[in-house]
Amino acid sequence: MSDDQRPITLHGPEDPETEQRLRDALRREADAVHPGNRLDAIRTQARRGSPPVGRTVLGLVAAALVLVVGGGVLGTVLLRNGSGGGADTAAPANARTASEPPAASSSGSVAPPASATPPTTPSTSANSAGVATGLPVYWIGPGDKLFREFVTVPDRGGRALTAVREMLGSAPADPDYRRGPWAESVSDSTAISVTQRGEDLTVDLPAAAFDTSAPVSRAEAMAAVQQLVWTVTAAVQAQGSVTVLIDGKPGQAWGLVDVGAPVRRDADARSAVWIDLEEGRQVSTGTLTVKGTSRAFEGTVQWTVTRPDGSVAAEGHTMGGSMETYEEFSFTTTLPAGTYLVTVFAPDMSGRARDVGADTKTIVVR
Amino acid sequence: MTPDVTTMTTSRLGAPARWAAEWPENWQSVAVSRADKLLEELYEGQWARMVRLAALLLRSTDHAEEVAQDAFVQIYRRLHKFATADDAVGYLRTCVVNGVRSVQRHREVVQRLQPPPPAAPPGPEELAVRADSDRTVLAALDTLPQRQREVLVLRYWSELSGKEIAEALGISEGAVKSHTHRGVAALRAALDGQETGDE
Repeated sequence: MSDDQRPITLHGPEDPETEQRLRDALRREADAVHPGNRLDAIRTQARRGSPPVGRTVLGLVAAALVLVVGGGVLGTVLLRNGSGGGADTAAPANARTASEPPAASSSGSVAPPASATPPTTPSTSANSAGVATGLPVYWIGPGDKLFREFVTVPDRGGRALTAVREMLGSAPADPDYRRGPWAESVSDSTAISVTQRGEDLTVDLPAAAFDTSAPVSRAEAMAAVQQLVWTVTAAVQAQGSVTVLIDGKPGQAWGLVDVGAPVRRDADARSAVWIDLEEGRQVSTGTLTVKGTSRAFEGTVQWTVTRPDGSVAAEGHTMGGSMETYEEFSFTTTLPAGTYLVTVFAPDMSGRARDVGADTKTIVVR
Repeated sequence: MTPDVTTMTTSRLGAPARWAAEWPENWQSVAVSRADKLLEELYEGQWARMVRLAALLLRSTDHAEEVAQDAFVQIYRRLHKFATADDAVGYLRTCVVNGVRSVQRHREVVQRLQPPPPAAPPGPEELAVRADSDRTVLAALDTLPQRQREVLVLRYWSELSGKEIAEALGISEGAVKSHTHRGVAALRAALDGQETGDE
C-alpha cells in the first residue's frame, strides 16, 4: 500500500480517524472491566499501615499557628500538654481501635455517615485517651538530616511508644523525607518498649526492626539512630539521654552503629533549616507568613517561592540562628492564587550554594 | 497537673525545640470524619475509573484492582493535603500510574526468569467477545513504548488535558505533545501495516 510511503508526521494527533478508533477501542475495553467493591479493604489497609486519623486537623492547627494568613503574627508556638503528655506507660495496649471516629460533637456538620465508622469503638472514654495529639515524628531527608512532622494518630501504648511505632511503620507526608532503614512490619510488635527514668529513656527494639534488606550507609544508620533519639525524647519532652537496646541488649544497629550506651540528641543531626509548614498546605490569598527554625553562617537564610514552571514568584532573605543555635526565622510575602514551592536554605560561606541545608514545602494559594 | 502551656528548650544541645498547639475541642472527630468523608466521595467518583485506568495501562485485569486499592490507600494517608475530593484526583491518578509501572517492572523480571509463553495465548480477559477492529487497535497499542501508551490512554480514554497528563506522568507538557504525536503516528503506521498484511 502506498500509505507506507506517507510521511509519518502527517498522522500526528491531527489524525481524527485513528484517534477515534483508539478512543472507541479503549472505551469498550474499559467498559468490560467491572471492579469489585474494596472500600472497606482500603480503609482497613490504610489504618493498619499508617492511620491518617487526625493528620488532617493536626495540619490545620499546626499550620494555622505557624502560617498566618492576613497579616497577623503569632508568638511562640506553644504546646498545650494534652491527654497524652505525661508518663507514657499506662495506656492500654489495644487503644489503637479507640480512636475510630467518635460521634461528632459540637460541630454538627462533621458527623460521619454511619457507614464510615467501623463499629469497633470500645467505649465513650476513648475520645481523648485513644489519640496521641501533636506528636512530633522525625524523618530522614536530604543529606541524611532530620526533619520533623507532627502527626495525630491513635494511641499505641503511650506517647513515646506511639511515636516510635509511627517512626518505624508510617511514612512522612513530605515527599522529600523518608522513613529510614526501619522494618515497617515490626511497628506493631509487642517486643518494642520504651521506659523512662527521670529525663532518661531506654528504647528496646527487636533485631528485626533494623531493615537490612537494602544497603544502609553508615551515615544513614547514624542518622536513623538520632531519628529514634529525637523522636522518643520529643514525644515525652525528655531532655536526657536515650539508651537503645536490641532485644534487651547492647548491639550493633544495621551492623554499623554500636548502640547500648546512653546517647543524646546531636544538634548537628537535624537539618539546618526546618520550615514549620505542613506539606501541601492550602491557604487563602493575602499576606503569607512562613516561619521555621534555622542555623546558618552569620544567621542569614535565603528563601524563594517558585511556581510549578520553576519561575520565581518571590524571594528574599531573613535572619535565623547562627553558629551553634537554631532560632526562629520568619518572612512574609503576598501571592496570587496558584501552587508554589517554598524553599528556605542556609547558604554556605560563599553565600550561594544551598548544600548546607534546605527545606521545601508545597503550598496552594486559593 | 499538666501545665496548660509548656515550652522545651534543650539549650544544652543548642537546639531549641518548641512544638504545637492549641486544639479545638472537637478536633479528633473533625479529622476522622473529614478523611472518611473525602475517601467515600473519592471512592464513589473514581474507584471504577481508576481500576479501569489500571486495567488499560496493564492491558490486563489481573492486578488492576490491587493497583487501584494501593493508590486509594496512599491517598487516604494524605487526604489532609486536599480540600476536596476533586483536588485529590490528580494525585490519585499519579499513584495508579506509578503502581502500574511497578507491576510492569515486576512482570518484566518474572518474564526474564521464565521462558516466554508459546505464541501469546489470550488471557481470560482477551477471550471476551470484542470487535476485531478493537482487538487490532489494542494489539497495535501494545507494541508502542510504555510512555507513549500511557500518554495515549490518558488522553483518549481519561480525556485529560496535556497539562493533566504531564502532572500524572511527571513529564513536561511538551513531552506529552510529542509522545501523543508519535504515539498516534506509530499506531496509524501499525494499523496500516496490519491491515495491509491482512488483505
